[in-house]
Amino acid sequence: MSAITLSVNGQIHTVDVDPTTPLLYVLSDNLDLRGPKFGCGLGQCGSCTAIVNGRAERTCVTPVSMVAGATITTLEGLGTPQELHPLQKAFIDEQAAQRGFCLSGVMLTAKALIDQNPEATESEIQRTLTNVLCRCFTQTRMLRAIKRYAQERV
Amino acid sequence: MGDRNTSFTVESRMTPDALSGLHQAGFSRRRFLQSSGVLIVAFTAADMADRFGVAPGVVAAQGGNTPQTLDSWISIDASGHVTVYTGRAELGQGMSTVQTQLVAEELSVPISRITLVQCDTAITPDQGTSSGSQAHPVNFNHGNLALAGATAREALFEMAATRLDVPIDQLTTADGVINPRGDASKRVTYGELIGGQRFSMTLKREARRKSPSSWAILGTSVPRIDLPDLGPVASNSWTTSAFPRWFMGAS
Repeated sequence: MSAITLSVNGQIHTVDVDPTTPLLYVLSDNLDLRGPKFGCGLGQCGSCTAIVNGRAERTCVTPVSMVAGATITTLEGLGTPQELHPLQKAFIDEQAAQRGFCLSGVMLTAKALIDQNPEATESEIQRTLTNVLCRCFTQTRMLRAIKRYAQERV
Repeated sequence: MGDRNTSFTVESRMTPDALSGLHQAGFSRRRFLQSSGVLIVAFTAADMADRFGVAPGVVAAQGGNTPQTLDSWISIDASGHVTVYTGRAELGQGMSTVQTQLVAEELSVPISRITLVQCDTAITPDQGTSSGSQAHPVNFNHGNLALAGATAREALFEMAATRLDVPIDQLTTADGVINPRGDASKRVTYGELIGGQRFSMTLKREARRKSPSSWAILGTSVPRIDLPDLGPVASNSWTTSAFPRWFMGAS
């Protein structure tokens, strides 16, 4: 066990865990953040995505020791029902949701991209989202929502 | 409501959605059988089985109800509010929105006047598994649900014909109000027709569904009732009480 300090959604947390513990488990079990989802557990589906130091990362395959001291944003760090983040509002405006299990990963992947590249083209958005799997076929609406967010943000 | 809270202890274990639906309609499964000020249409798994050419025994074997059991129902209360009780769960594919649309269309009431109570074991029927093609927005017990709405509408039209002294075929309805076609001076609301009485009926197979050419709610793109409502459209109470957790992370 070792003490690891993380900045998550603007709050500093110190957890005492096995350093090989996946970041996803720490977020979920130690910090009670259930936005990131356990999907494949292999870093392939994207449902566990969080933003770590500005980059979208797969938390299920990231040992917590690798992100000691990092700044992390999960779905909970975006907005609240009362004060939606513009990205969440765009998803609602476009009705871009079905089952929702993938949405946390989709939103955080999109946010990391648009934060880095506010003028990302449609094909850049598509390429980035390629590795976030969704089986409900809401992709076209999600892409519209992400584009709307990018446009309204400028 | 105080009366119901103290006498019906299951309410203390109910989900906020179900509780709000129950309170809006004022009826629980046990109580609605003996209450007044409501119009209830019930239908059974037998109807469903027959409609799809499946033997009732098969429905029961798949986890559905026996033909003798109430399978699902809708009720309209004395204020004109409609409550739909269903044993099929939303899986994200939009079924809760479609179920609400179906009933709103057949009854000609806005979606905001409908409360959908889904899968609360205290008050909704066991309709078996919600999965795959059994829980698709266009392939569930939609026929029965629409027929239940049509059954209720026809019953209300009969009552309105007597009340207004106008032949049934000259009546029309919109927004929960029935009036003679082209004459808005004579009118009666669903709530007024139901008043303090109690009407209970079973699904009428021969009830006539609205023709698709007259649809105003079905066949249109309506906002999902399980997403937060950001627009000017009246919000469904079910929506606001059930903010989807997956949209915001843990609550």
